[in-house]
Amino acid sequence: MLGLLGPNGSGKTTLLSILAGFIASTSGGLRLLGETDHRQALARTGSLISKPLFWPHLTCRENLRCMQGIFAGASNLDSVELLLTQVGLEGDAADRKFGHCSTGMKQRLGIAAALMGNPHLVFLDEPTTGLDPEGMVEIRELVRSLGKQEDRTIIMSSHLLNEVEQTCDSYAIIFRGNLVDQGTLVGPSGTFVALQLETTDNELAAQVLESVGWNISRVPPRNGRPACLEVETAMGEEWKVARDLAERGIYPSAMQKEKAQDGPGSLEQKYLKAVGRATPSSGQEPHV
Amino acid sequence: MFEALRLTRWEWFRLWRRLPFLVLAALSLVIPCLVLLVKVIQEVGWTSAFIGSGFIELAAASASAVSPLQAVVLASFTHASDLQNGSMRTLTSRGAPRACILAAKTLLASALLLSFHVVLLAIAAALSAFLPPQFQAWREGLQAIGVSFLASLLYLSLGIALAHWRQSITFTVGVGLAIVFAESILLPIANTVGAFLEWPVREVTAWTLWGITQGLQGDSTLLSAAWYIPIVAVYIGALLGLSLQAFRKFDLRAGAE
Repeated sequence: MLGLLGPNGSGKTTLLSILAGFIASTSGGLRLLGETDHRQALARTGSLISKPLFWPHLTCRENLRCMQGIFAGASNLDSVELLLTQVGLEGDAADRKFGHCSTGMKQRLGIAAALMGNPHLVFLDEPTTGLDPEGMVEIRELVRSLGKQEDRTIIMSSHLLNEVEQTCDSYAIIFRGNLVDQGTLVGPSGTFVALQLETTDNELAAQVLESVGWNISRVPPRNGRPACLEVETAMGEEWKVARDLAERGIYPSAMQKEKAQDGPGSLEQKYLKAVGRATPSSGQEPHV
Repeated sequence: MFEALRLTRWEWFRLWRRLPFLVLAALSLVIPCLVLLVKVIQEVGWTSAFIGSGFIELAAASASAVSPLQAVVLASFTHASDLQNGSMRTLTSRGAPRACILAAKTLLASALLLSFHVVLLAIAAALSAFLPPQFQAWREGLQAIGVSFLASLLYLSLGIALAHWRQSITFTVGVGLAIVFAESILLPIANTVGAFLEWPVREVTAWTLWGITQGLQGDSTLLSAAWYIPIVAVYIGALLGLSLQAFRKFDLRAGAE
């Protein structure tokens, strides 16, 4: 599950709208799910972008039936009921007209529609926007549970850092239409450690770790210590780094944990650094 | 084609559940039926002489008065509504070809216009049983009904083009109805002015949408039906072609902001 971050106007919704085929890109190419035929790839995606847009005179159930008929060719009532249950729209809620639904119910229906047909890739654009705190927690829990299912990637845009930290495994930050940072979110924010590794082939180890999404830096020899790799990981999650290396037959000759830190490793710090703003604690003047 | 037909089913699924559509359908039939009924009562009751070449032609004239308005409003229900409300994004979100979506919507609206004419014809046929045989000029009547249906397709295409141009219900209905009313109001005025200035308005307008639709509705003696049909087909093709281009080219942003 990838969290797409960026300030307002950075292009999050535009990017997702291009990926979902709603707007055309002004330049460049697009390859989705390994396919250059965008329309073919879209058949294996689901999306909820900006806000749920359905037919207000139809009930939630009728909306899903209609979409299933359009997407899949025929309406399967059992599958519609399953989706409604999955997003918590059972009973009377399913028979309420979409135009009369609360914002939270609309979001749930939007997520149900996005999940229809078990797509490989789901785009969610700020799914908790406009919800009350209780609704935000409910939708966040729902999205988190969906993200745990296998064979499915969810790209969720948000400007709420804690939301991304709580729900996503990795993040990408875009600023003024450019990707400025990306990495993994290996655990809850707060306490991070810098894990220093020495292997017989540091470059190979670096490539392996980068390929699975670890945020690493190459540390040159200094003060008599040999060159090593520094991997940023959450406290208690260090074993995952060793596991990823071991799976490729690489075993570190030395592994040292640097002091725990709350600062530079946090998503907030990464975000501020990526969008070019200094943090107040760093003593630099923020600039926009 | 199969894909378009499949999508048409779900267009209907949504459309018949809309109250405004049911109101439109009811009004579309009630108004011409009232006209026919009044004529039957007049004739049966000998309250006044029945004037006209045939009862079925009267049905066609009633249909042609209602169907342009009906066609424009139908275009707003089937096309402009999804474009303005943003539900077109939902329709296209799984990669359904836009040409198929446009075809499905157009097929449904065309089928509804055809149904309207067929139902009106059936009602007229049933009512004509109360009239003397000389009023049952079926051949001319069927031709007139066919021409009215063709004219309604032209207005439907116009409405669809307007819908895709601005993605707005208000624009589609407003401009579409304005064109319909402008035609019926301005042509007689232009003819009068033209006659005064000895300027052949009818010849000039005969090759425009204005002249064609007036001709289809029996207000022109310039062109025969053999000419009208291909000309109308070209207009319909051009308007639908423009609509498809707009649909493919324009971003689907409406409703999402």
